[in-house]
Amino acid sequence: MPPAAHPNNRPAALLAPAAALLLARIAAAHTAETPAEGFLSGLLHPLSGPDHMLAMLAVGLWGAQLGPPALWLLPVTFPMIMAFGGLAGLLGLSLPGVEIGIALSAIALGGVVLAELRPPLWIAALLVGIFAIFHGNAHGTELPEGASALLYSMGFVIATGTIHLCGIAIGLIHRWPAGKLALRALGAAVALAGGYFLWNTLA
Amino acid sequence: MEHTRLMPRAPAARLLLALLAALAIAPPARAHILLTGVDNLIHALRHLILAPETILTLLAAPLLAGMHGEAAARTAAPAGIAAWTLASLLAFLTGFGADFALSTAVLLLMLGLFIAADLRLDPPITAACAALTGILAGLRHGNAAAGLPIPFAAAMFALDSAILLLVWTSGYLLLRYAPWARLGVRVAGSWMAAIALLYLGWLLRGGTLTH
Repeated sequence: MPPAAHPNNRPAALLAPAAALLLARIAAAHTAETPAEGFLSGLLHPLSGPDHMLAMLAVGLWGAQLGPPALWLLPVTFPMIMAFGGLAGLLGLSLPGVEIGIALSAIALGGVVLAELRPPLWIAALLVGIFAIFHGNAHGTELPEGASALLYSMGFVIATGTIHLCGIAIGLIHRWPAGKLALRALGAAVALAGGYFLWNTLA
Repeated sequence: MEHTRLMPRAPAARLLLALLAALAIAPPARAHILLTGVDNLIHALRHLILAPETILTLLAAPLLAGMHGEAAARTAAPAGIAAWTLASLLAFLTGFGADFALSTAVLLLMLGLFIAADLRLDPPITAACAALTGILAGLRHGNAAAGLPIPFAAAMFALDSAILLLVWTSGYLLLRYAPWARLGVRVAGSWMAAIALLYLGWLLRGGTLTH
């Protein structure tokens, strides 16, 4: 007799559908904005734009490449300056050419990773900060109406910081010779993607 | 011929079936808590828990004090807790209630920046930050207990105070016994400042307070 059909295994067969029922997903039929939705919306927002995501990832990659203190300074600078740009966006101060700035950020940040540039810390922070303003401004103007503001902001900042951390984690491969090459290749990929975004924006 | 057993042999499977049966026999739904006043207590207890901006400031203040060592933490903790207690009592007794959303956002921004920048602050300044945090939190949430019977109000204050003590102790101990956490705390501070900036922008845009 096959093991599955053995009488002693029949209760196990009954457990599977029971487990499936218990693990059923919540039926999210209420699409009106709720606090939970605000946090989730904010959490997902940075992930919704590949241009945003690649630039934030590149910040982490570059920080890992530069090593301490840039390792943590750059991912600290970006969210704060980005939030400042978001504040401006929320107040109706839209930067001109914000999408171009975002595309350029991917090109520039990918490019510095590719070139393994090691400028003084303040220049690196300045570069990251300038581009962070564009990202923040774009997000600030895109804040959905009726959003749960604080929870949205929390989700948004946490997601941004997490993407930086992912970049740092990936960037730690630079400690190996092959990893250095791979990291530079990643930088090239980010820069190329930024070029594609720029072309799409200008077209 | 082997008969099919209705009950499984394995003890774990029997236990699971028993649990499922217990869940299926739902207890009576006691929805009429309006008569007992418990719903007001629950609302009051939730008042603080569902205020993430207050919770963030209550996390930030002890982290800021903890970053500045034992002397700063020893003066800031009682200052913060005393300020909270007095402000809560004031709000409870007078029924004073105000949003303080803008003030809380500005305070969170300030605390976040102090933490992220790792500025050298004297103990009186960290104590003042803690006291300000306690005052705002107390005034904002103290009146949640207004109208509650005294024992319920006392329970609410006791729970809030316990939460506050736990947060203060955790914040201080984290930095006292895990110096490597300092960097993580600075990153957290930058995130708090960023959250506060976005929240501030939304408030200044004229949004109403919704969590």
